Amino acid sequence: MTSRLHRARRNDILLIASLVFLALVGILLSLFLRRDGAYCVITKNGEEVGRFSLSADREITYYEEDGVGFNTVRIENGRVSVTAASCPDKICVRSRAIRYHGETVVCLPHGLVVTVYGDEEGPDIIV
Amino acid sequence: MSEKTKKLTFLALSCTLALMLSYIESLLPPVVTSVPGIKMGLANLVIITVLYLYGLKEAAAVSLLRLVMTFLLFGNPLTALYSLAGAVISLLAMALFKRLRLFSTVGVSVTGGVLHNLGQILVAIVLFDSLSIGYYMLILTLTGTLAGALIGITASFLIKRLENVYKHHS
Repeated sequence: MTSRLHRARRNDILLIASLVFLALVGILLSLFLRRDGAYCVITKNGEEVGRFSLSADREITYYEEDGVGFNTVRIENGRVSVTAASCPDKICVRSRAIRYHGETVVCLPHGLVVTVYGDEEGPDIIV
Repeated sequence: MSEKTKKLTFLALSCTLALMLSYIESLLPPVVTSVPGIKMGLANLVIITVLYLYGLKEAAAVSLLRLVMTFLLFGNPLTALYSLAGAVISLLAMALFKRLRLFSTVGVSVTGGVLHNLGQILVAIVLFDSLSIGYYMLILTLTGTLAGALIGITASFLIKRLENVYKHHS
């Protein structure tokens, strides 16, 4: 009985250590391999509603179907952020501005995702 | 008190506790504001305790009732969908890991924490049709592991003290 508890403890520590290790390696790799974004794509419930270059500053507001709920997306100095929103949790507003390929800002309540992409697939960018 | 009554009152109390713990947790300021989904998962303290004292069926009942009550009280269907995905996948994984007998409460709780995050991220990937949301899983694995470990340690104390009174004898 005690030996099983002992083994379980050891397995616990192994599990925790390997999860932390994997996560740290993944985070380090993603920091190391990240590249600058060129444009951002804004989707609402999976459908693209906007595509903008990061090189020009602008501010766009997306409204919910009810015409009241909204998210304001701002592009400034090559970074995108959600600067204002009517959602209850405001997680999107608190998220920091993003600028690297693959980064996202998500507003779960409104189904809005802002994703930054690199420069290889940019023929139809609105500049 | 008959075993049946004792069980019923304990499970009812657990439901209330799980509901209150997740409500209290929602009042606390977020730990890291820039990443959604980082949380302690206090309600899992109750779920894992019920899982150890009674079993999967009872833990599932408490977990689902908590979700329904949260939905009725604070009603957000989208949040409910995420919570449901996280709760189902994490409870099933915890039940499996408990049965494997390889880990203690701490390991089981860590599995539950990480899988809860994974379930929610998978729903987000499907809903938003955006694979890059998956990047969040890296940081969530880290925080889910730590939160799960803390919850697991607390749960092991709880279970040790409650099992003489509540553990069902079958």
